[in-house]
Amino acid sequence: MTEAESGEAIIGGNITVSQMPGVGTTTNSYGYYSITLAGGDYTLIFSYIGFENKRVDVNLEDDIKLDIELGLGIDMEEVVVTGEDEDENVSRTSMGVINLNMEQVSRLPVIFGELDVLKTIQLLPGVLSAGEGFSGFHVRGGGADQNLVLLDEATVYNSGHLLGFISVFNSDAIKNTTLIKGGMPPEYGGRISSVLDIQMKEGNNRKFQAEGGIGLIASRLTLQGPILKEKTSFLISGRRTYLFDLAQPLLKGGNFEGTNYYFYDVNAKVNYRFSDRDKVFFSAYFGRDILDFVSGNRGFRFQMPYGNRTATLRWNRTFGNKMFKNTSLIYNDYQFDFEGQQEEFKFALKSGIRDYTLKTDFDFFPDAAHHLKWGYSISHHKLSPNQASGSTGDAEFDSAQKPEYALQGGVYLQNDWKISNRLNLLVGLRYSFFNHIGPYPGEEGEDPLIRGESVVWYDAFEPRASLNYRLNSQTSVKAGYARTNQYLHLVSSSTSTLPTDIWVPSTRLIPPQTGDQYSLGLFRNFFNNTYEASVEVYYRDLSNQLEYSETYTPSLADRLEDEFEVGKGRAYGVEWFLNKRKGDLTGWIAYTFSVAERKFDEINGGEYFPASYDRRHDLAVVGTYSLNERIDLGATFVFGSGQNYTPIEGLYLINGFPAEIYGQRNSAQLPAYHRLDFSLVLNPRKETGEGRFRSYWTFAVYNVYSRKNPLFIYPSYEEDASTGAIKSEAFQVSLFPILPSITWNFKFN
Amino acid sequence: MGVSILFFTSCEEPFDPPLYGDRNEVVVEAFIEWNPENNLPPYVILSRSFPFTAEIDPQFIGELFIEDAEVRLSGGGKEVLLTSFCVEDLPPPIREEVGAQLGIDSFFVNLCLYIDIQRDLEVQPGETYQLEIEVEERKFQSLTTIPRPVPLDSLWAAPVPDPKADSLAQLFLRLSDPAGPDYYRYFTSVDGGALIPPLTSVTDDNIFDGQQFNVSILKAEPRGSEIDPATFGYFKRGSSVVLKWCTLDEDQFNFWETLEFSRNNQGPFSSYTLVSYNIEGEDGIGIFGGQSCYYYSILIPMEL
Repeated sequence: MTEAESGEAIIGGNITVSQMPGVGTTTNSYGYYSITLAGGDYTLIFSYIGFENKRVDVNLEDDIKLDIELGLGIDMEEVVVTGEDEDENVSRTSMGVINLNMEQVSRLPVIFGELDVLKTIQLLPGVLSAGEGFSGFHVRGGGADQNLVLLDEATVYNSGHLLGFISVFNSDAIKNTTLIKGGMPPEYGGRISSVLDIQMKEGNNRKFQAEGGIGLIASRLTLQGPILKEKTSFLISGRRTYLFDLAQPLLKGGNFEGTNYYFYDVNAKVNYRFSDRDKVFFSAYFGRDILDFVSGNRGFRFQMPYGNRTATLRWNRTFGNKMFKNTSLIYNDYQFDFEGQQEEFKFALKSGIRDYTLKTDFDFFPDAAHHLKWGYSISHHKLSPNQASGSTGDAEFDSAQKPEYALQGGVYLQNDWKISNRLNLLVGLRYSFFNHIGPYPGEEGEDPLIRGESVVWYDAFEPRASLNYRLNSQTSVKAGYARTNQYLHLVSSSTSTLPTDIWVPSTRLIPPQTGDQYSLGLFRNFFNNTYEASVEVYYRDLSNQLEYSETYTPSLADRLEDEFEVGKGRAYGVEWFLNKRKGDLTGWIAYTFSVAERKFDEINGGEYFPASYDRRHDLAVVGTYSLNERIDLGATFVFGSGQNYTPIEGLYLINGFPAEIYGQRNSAQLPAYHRLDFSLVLNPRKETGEGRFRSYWTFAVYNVYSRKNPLFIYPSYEEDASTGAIKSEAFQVSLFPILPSITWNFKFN
Repeated sequence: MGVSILFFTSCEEPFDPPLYGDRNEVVVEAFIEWNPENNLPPYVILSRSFPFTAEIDPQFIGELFIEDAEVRLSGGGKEVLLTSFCVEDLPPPIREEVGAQLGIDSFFVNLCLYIDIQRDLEVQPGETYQLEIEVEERKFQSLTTIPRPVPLDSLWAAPVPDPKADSLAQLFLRLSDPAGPDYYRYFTSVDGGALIPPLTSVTDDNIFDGQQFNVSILKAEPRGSEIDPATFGYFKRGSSVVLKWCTLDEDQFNFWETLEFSRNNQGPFSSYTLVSYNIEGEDGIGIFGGQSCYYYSILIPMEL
């Protein structure tokens, strides 16, 4: 199933049979579908939100192949919150799955005027922001590293530009975003909390298009079009910031001349259909943040580039009419470099992670009751922790850190089984393994292990299941269980994704993280699927969680695996979600009550403590309103319990100056967080809107009532040199007051 | 840009922290030093913890010191009972000398300490010493070993990178680090002032083990002084500088490393760091540290 205007595959498109209520299927990630029916006459209905339904009469005597194009809906009130089927909320077997439609994302208010899919998912139930303005997120009491973030199947290890304030995902290049926070299907592995699966657009194979925008801090441009009509098309999309470039003349001649910061990223994709049954895609992402700092007076300069690179080559093939195969070859890396110089002292630091992955997935539809999926994946990891080197005059230094290598893989089988019209069961099993391989220094009394030698082997069976029982056409009850394993870890002493964050493999000292999630939910739609509502409860058991020891200080020479404490965790909560999908006014209310706790023998005296992202109450109210043909309004209001912190219970003097005695970990709370944002989209007049060139304006106000939300607090001690008195005070730091932004967007067909 | 956005938009205001009952920690600052002149006797300062909201004036600080403890040091086959005294009991010249050695510029506070006044204990590199303290029936103890001394190869002054700043100089040292783990700390004193450590005063030798190299050192700024980025860490030409260059035992390195990291990283991207103590006994915190030090004097010439 494809979009008529662009030829893009429709993901999650719906196929139902008019004569057989309750029988149907959905398209997969490549727009492919298969449905098995007994011989006879049927009317098939093809639908996708935002598009016109298509009815096709078929006379089934033999297998047939039906390629369907859907045109945009005439009645644009159909543009709704999610890009899924109307009653998907009730009918889908799996739990905790949310698809985000970019059309909706584009009408919500955003900070700096930069659309950001990672900020939008923070407004969903069960998803917490990593902090004011940050694109990092926590799902159901899990750490930020426990989310599997995929861009066209390639793992993105660091999803933040600009210290995490802006995500690396350029929304112009994104077609579809799926967040799986509940019962992770067996096809996904390697993380224990959630999957954020982002798919890039394929490129319009019907006509050439250019679109872009100019914002306060960045501009962007996307080109797409056919290379060979109907056969091959391309998309290339880029953006770059320029705020500091504009400031360059002010720095000229000064101490900081040459200092600059910018980021850019490029998404590119081409596809080629070389037969009715075969299609190949190549997609790539390249992004860099670059900070150059120069202090001429001090003879000091450094350059700090960092970013991700991904490339995915995919081959889709259909076998007969019931089987679909996708094979992908994937490369991805994240690299952080720092090169500094002060006079004759030079210093360089490199860290990163690089993967090669091969995976194949099969979809098989043997009959109307079963949708089988199976496949395998295997990855080779190269992890380079802090590799420091330096020189001063004739001396050279080198940290003892060497790259670490690992093989990771998995095989899985799952079946989405329609047991009856009321009962669906999605059941599956994933077997995963991880092999940390040398070189490895070895333990005392052991010879160092050479490259390729096995250091440690871990494997695990990961059963997953979800059950959907339909009470009636509008209501269902679902239950889910998922066991997940995680073999790569990122332990951060910060609350956000920082460029310096380092991924480490499971080793002899670091066992794999394991998560068990149990969930139960009630799903109900009202008023012809205009409103959808759900309540979900979950409990998670987490083992082998990692934290730095309480006396950890970063050192380039440390072997990170020696610095971790291993413990366990638990998380539970309840999520309410009410979503209005149709009409001039759309939007949702999401409220989550949740608890996330951790327990380590060597931290907090071995007692359970709340995780730093344990925020008991979290509310988001999101709305967009189509005032008239020219004006769309949007608003979001968020309210959340304040961030936990570890309080200072007392002071003592060392060398006459105060030092802190801390209380129980994360036992105090900052004041509550709340904020209101507005947006206004000014669409082109109808007469200009019909031409080949369209442009529109987006105005947004972040933090309308300028709430001073505390991001953190810090103690301060001021010594009066004339009296010897020391004043101890605490301060709270708030980041963003009211911030207006304006963006001009255009589209050329 | 990230920094500039934070700079332009962030704001801070006073925050009233929650109140907690009194903690009852006994704080130990105990040091035993070897140096070629053997001119610093082992000393111990004992004090109590206090609430965050306390008014910390000199009188309050004076009352924090514990004067009636029994403090014993043993090692090298000897045990000594340290003598308690307060600096106000000393004649002013000795008071100033003690102040300069302990890194205290002024004596608003009547500092009280315990000291091996007779120099009965012989301090030698490689020797292990034990500290025992008894305060109101609470007992604390700790061990330390004097590390091997590592002298500098040389120390010299050089111009700063900015040719216009011709009244300033920076100091360089050359070190031959012996093979094996060493932990270093330094202090500076300018024109007879107190020997004080810079904000980050310690380092291990993990990345330069066994190497010979040159490195610049920073002038330590007195607490409470305004930091000027243009001159920070530089010395004035014509000034007389003393550099105290020490090796530390590992516990003492860990103590300063964690304390300085905790003090310098109170920010949005860090969580708290606990200070690593080596004092045994309930609610005993602080450090008993052994060190080997050299003192180098240099007069920075006007012309470089």
